[in-house]
Amino acid sequence: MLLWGSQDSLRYEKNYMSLFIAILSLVALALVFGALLGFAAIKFKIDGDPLVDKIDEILPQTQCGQCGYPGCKPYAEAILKGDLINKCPPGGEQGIIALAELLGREVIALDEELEEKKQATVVYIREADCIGCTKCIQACPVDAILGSAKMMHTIITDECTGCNLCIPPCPVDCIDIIPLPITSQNWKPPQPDALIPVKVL
Amino acid sequence: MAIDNNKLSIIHPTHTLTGGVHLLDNKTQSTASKIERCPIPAQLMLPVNMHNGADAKVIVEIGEKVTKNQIIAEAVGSISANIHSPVDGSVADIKLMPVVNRSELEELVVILDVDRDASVLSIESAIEETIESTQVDWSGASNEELLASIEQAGIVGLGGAGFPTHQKLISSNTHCHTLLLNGAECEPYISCDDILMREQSPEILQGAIILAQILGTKKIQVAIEDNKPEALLSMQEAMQKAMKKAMTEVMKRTNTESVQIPSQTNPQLTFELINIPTQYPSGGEKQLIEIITGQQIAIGKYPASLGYIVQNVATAHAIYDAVVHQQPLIDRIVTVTGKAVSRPGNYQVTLGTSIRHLLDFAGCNETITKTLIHGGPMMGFPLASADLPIVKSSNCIIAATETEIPEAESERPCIRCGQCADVCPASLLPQQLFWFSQSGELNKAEDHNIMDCIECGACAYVCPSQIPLVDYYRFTKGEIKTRAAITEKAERSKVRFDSRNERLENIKLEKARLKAERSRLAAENRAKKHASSDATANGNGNGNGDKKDLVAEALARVETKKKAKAAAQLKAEDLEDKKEPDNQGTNDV
Repeated sequence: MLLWGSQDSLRYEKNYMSLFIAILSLVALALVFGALLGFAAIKFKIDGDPLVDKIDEILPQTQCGQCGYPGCKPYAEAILKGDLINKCPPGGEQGIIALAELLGREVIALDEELEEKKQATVVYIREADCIGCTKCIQACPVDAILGSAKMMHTIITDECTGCNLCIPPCPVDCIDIIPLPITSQNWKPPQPDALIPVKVL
Repeated sequence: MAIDNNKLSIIHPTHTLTGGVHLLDNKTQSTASKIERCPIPAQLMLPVNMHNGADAKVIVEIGEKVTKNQIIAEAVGSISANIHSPVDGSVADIKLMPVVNRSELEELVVILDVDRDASVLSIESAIEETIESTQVDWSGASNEELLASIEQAGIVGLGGAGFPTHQKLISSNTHCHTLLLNGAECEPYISCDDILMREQSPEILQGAIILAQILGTKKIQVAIEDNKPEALLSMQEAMQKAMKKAMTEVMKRTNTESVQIPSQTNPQLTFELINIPTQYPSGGEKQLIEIITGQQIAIGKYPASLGYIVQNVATAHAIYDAVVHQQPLIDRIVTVTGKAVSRPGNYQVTLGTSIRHLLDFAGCNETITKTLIHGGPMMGFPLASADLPIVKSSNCIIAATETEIPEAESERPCIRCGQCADVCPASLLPQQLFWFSQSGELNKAEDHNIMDCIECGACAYVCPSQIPLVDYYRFTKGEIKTRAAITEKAERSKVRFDSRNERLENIKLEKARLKAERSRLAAENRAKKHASSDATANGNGNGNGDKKDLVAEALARVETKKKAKAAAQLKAEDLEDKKEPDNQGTNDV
């Protein structure tokens, strides 16, 4: 019995030792990982909310301001702060669905006051009527108008987003909205008639 | 080193195509006769875009005289091709008009009035010309020079895709070990490559040797479907001759120990003739390589990833013409066939010739022509009119009667039989793609690799429900491309918007800075002035006294003026007092 007892005490002693080692090693690990995490937090710090960029990616970047914010990014920030996702007519229904999916919100109809754009458009300056006032150039959010004071202005069609912000400032009303011209580069094959013809029975 | 070159053996590959269908050839109608030259019409219509890529830029003006082989429209950017005038004549007009394309959009076309005498002469002497015309010895030419002459000649892939050849050569230049000449011509009705191989195999091979030199490939393979035995024999003969020539060159070199290395026939070049089983679509680039090597090309990769470069036989022939005869691409062989044509065959047609002119020459009965197809029956498309020009990619015109190509039946619901999946050469899931296309689920369609569809039409061909599957895929691919373009534009708009805002912000900051600078300067000036006036005040007492005197003087002056004024007023009042009775008197009278 004595022998056993002595052995037990020996074991306990050993266990204390191992407990001590375990605590020490855990503390060491905690320190190491803590330092690592701390380092990562500083090194890989992300400025701003990454969700804003994701929302901004879905928005069509027309920069038209119809949502009431000066550009797409401000609207993205507003959405994150709780604004409705149905204020972007150029994005249309597809845009709302994508936003709803991203943010886990409900799909809602486009704001009634706004009108969805069915067809891609660009603007066109009737160059004969242009007086060269540069007002449209100042209004264009994407620098898609070329011209200078008292010189004829023209639209860079490839860069025009169809936001129509240049139309109200024009004093001589020489800017028209035209559907985006179809060329061999942007032509797409038509949809096959998907409907099965209903025969008269 | 012994080269066994007496008999070039024909290789029969053991691998097979994934999927594919067996179709009725319908090629014998047009292969009975030899290549015939179609006379040049009075007017030629040359679209500025006969290739895959950017429009060429017109460099002639209306009314300008042009000569044969003169460039009338220049390539713009790297993926584009020159357009040459095929005749002596003058530019009648440059205008937008319908051309041969699936979209039926109008494109810019240069219309040439043909100088009749010259063109008649050129037809008569056409055959002699090709024999007599000065052959250029290209053996000393560098690769850059050869590439430049191909680029200059405006050569594009003549198999149908129309991709500029020099660009294809440049992009796959460094890592190709085998040049594969594509003579499969798997689509029914078309026989232009077949007949070209039968009649002009040495020229084709010469073109291939030039290509091999540019690419530095050691091996030339020629793949021909087994329904073209004559073409196979002809190519075999040409290849044997080329090998014999190569060996004699080697012998000569060893005998005379000449230092000059004959590069015209690279002695290290090996030739292989491959006879592949007839099956549609074996002529697709990736499909052909799969049949020959048993390896598939990974998604988004090109044949170069397996060390192959594929060129059509007609393209090789055009390269021969460009390098050896310095002749740009101004005509091509076109198969004219179909039951409405009384003389079906292969015609050498000048580019820009109207299809109607060609059909008339081939004896087409327009009253029984139901559909006019450009290209083959599987991948071609119907033409709205015959008044369109033959372009570089026009390999076949089919004038079909009503019985030949019956009107498509209306589409019925999919019964999930899975035949489309069995025949798909790209191993896609046509049924899934069909549903995604119908419901507009672009992401899912893209995930199912719809962009790898080669639009061969095998799925639509076997569909028992007559669903025009390939039309759905084309539509969806178009939608995906449009979406990608919109995303790309949005990205660009964002960058432009941000840079504009940054610029405006910078301007504002600059203005504010200038304003601050100005006000700072003004304040400094004021301070300086103040300091100087203080200094004068303190340092000069007399000046101060003078000022006070001046003020006093001025005050005195004002005082005297006031007094004088008051005196004058008094005087005036007195005068008025005196006048008053007078006035009253007159009033009374």
